[in-house]
Amino acid sequence: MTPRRAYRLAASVMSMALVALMAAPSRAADQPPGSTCIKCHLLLTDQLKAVAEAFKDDVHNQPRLGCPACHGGNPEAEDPMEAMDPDKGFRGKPAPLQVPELCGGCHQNASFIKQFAPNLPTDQLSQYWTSMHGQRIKAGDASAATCVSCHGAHGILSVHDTRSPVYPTRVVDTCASCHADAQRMAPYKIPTNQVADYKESVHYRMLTVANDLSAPTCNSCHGSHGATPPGVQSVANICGTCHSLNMDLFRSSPHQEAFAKLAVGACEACHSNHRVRSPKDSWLKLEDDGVCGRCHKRDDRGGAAAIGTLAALQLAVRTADEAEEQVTRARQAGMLMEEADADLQQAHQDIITARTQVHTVSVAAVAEHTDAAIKAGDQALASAHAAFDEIHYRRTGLLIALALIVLALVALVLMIRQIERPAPPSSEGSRRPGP
Amino acid sequence: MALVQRAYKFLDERLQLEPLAEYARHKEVPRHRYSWAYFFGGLALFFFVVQVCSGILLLLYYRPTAEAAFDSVQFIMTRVRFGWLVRSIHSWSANLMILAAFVHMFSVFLMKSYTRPRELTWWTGCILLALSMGFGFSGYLLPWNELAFFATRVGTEMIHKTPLIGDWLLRFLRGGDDVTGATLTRFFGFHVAVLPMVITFFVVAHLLFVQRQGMHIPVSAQAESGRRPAMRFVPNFMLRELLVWLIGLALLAALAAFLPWDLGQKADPFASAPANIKPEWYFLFMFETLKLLPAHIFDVEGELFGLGAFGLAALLWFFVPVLDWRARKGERSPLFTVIGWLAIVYISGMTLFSLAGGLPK
Repeated sequence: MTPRRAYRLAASVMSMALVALMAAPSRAADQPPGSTCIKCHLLLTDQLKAVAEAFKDDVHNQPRLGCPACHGGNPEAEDPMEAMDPDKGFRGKPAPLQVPELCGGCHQNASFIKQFAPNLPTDQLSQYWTSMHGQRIKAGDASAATCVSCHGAHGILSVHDTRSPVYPTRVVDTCASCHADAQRMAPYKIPTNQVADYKESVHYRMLTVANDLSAPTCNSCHGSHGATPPGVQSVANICGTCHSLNMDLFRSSPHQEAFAKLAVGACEACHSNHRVRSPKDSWLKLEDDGVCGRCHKRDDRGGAAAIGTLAALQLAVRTADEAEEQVTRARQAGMLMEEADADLQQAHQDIITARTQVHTVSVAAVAEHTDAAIKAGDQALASAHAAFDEIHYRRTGLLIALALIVLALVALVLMIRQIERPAPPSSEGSRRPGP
Repeated sequence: MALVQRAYKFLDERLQLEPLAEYARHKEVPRHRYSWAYFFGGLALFFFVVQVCSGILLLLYYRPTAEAAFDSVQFIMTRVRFGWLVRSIHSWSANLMILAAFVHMFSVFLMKSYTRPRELTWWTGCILLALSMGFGFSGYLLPWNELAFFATRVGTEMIHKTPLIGDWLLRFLRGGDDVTGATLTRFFGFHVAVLPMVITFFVVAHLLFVQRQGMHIPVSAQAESGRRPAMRFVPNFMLRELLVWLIGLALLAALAAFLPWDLGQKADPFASAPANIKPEWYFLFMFETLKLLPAHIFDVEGELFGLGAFGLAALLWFFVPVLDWRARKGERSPLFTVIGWLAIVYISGMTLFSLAGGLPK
């Protein structure tokens, strides 16, 4: 022990003694159990104080739990030495290897847990032992993640609390604290680019920008307590949890068998794993950024299907875009375009369905929906053209009406002039004698 | 012509029209540099007639229920032949009528035409303007679109601030606690039955007073008017008035064809209020003023204070024939000229400020 640490320990013990002396006369029966732990630690410094402060918001800060639930000891004793007497069950700070069993002691006990949180699952520990983290701990690797690595030790918050490190939008940074640390991951030979890749994905954008908490984060695919990398065969199952229709279509396609033979991850082969981007129709190209071109050539069946599918989709998109542009022009000219809007919506819906059908790798299945989209787009376009004809008709009518009004105005002006024209001096008037 | 003469003779024998025709033949309108102002009352009347005609046509298809109102207006605009034109003309004409009425009122005010013996004409005119604004307020809700729904909610909330009877007035207007289908039915009733009945009475009275008393000549133009020969009402003035009406019709047709009145989105009472809810333009000066006021003024709620101030100003404006003692004596009245110009500058300034974006609420 260095002189500095010895000095700090002595100061801490003296502070505790001082607190005990001060607290003794005022100790009352109404103090909740565990309060002497908090009371003393709040008078200490650094980490020893920080744990007490953090514990104020901890979900375990409630009667029958509190500090002794994890650390043991006698929370009612005023004397620190008595309160933290190992003979009376004080365990001190649990070692990393002990943490899972310590937490699991309560959390796998369903009858105990339901007294506090009836809906909380109690399979975390059994899940944990199936995870890579749990397996490393069992192998004696104290560096592997345990419960406290993700949830924290003091100040554990509910998963529904936005401040919690396991709240959906914060999970990725919690995982990143280890998995983006190249030095820490080096012994395990695990790459550290997953977090950076994930943050470029459509999933992360949906989660953090669109605030869609159902969008997947690390634990959605890898599991939380049973965290483990999915195998090649299970990738489709994991993606299919949310993208069930795409998964069904993929399984009905020739790709299912081909990918299995090549030991290629079903969805991952085209969409990547962590860096899942918004798919584009251009992915169907056999060159440039096309994913089909990775395996297919222009003259094979798959290549021909990709070309046909891309052409069908592009035609549908062009038709819908052109129709939308014309409908917008008509609307800006003041026309009501409700029916055209409904047709456009239908066209967009059919294009989305056609894009989903790409997973069947069947040109016919895609074309069925692109044809419907083109039909709806053409209807919208026809409505826009009808609106332009109507505008033309209205403006022609206005011009005719205005011409008639101008004619009437001119006639009126002439009539007023005629009426108000000074009468020519009559012969009788000229003969009238002057005053 | 012979047919017209025979028809006139037929009616004259039965209704003794000749004295009226004789009166019209001798009726004259003074000529001076402010004579142009005489046409705005007639222009407002023209737009009122357009309102009545187009409103009757809209009634053939409009359905006054929360479920059907929006769809029926949409039907009028998309399916009924020339329905778009009728609806656009009705909306534009309503606004042009109020604009013409405002110009008419301020020209009358600045020319001090309200003085004895024309107090009754002024008072009926003020009531007509208030009724026109009532038409605007009640008609605004009828298409049952999003903007109208929330603007009516805000507008009726302001009426709620009226001392003593505010609560009763709110329930009377809304037909309940909130703006619902009951409010729509009620506003429809006001718009097509109650207000037309009342306004017809006042329009007739106003026109009778004008015809009976003739045109007022402002003090500053009396010398000029004395020098220039008067204009015969029939046909010289009437033809000029017809000219102005035709210009009004051309403007209306152009606006309806080039800027068809927007229908917006159907009202959803459960949706959150859209940003920038604004009433019709002629209420904007009051709306913007109320937004500018602090929360409390002299221990009175700011909006209540503002509404009270507007109420008092309207009351003073109404009784100006009694208050303007110099004009009553036939003298120049510069104080009231300044008041009139200040009111014009304030109303147009605040309206333009609000149209330009105004204060964020």
